[in-house]
Amino acid sequence: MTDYNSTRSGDVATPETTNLKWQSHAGHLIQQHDRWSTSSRTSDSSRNGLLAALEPSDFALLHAHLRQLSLTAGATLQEQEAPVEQIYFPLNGLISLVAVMEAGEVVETATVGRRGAVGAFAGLGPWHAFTRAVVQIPGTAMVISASHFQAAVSQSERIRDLILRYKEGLLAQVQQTAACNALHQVEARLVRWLLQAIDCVDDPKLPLTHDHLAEMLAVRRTTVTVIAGKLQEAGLIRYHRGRIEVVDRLKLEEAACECYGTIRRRTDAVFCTPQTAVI
Amino acid sequence: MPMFYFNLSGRTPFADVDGQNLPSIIDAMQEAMGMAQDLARNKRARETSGDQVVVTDGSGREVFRIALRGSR
Repeated sequence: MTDYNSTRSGDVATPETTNLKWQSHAGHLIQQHDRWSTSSRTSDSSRNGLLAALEPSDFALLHAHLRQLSLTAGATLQEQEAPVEQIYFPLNGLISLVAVMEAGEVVETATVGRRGAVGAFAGLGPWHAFTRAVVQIPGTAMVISASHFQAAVSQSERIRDLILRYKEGLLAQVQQTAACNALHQVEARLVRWLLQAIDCVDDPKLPLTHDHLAEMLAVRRTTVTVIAGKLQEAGLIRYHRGRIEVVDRLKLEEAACECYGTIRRRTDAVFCTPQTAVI
Repeated sequence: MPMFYFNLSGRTPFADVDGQNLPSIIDAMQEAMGMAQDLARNKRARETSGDQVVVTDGSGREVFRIALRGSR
């Protein structure tokens, strides 16, 4: 494990002692590594698109309070209706925002990867989450407490604006997903989801089972198996023992519904300034 | 628990090689009906005509089949 030196303003650099804390949360374990990093944004944090989009002076308001966290598969980062206490900026991996119904059924409403955040809206003030955030593909995230994030946002209009633009982009994803779920065929929906997932993780290999996909799309596992099987026969994907690999991305994009492109375009606009944004 | 295989017959057939253990034939019927609904959803009748979910057992014998019915 790498040692990092702590550098708060005025502190003398000391060798790091990694502090492992085990925290039980909704039956899942989240392993926390407390690291104080000398790294500027060019190392870890810049892998998150929102943090990378901040002006250096704005990032400086957050830097000292960001810590790196491992996200384990299946962990619940945020419970539905619960207060938002931490904001997660993924560096990799994939998080699903799922709606939980009264009888316990869940369906995914949005995906969050390294171009997004979980709980960002709490930067504007105390907030309760509308959906449950679950880690689908493990990875790491930079995490900040809601109170520290609120303090930073109160000092920077630009951070506030970025949060609001991100919220609009997320809403665009959810709106298009709702339309897609209502109108489009399951084959196109599955292909759209696969493309969104590989964009999120920047990797054509997804450590996911057919059960995972079935739950996210609210269809039967046997349905996923039939469609995945046909995509494999056509040479577009390959799957084996809990891993799905996209083999022919171009052909897969042709098989996706319009919603993949629409969501991509609208979430890209989050990172444009108001003058350059084209929705 | 018995093993059931959820195959698709029709214009683009698919053979289920992995199968699924389910407690009873009723559970297999529910799974097959759900699968047929998933696959037919938002499709026109002509897009699904002739397609069926064919459920077989461990020895390859057909247990039952359900027709897909697109209704858009």
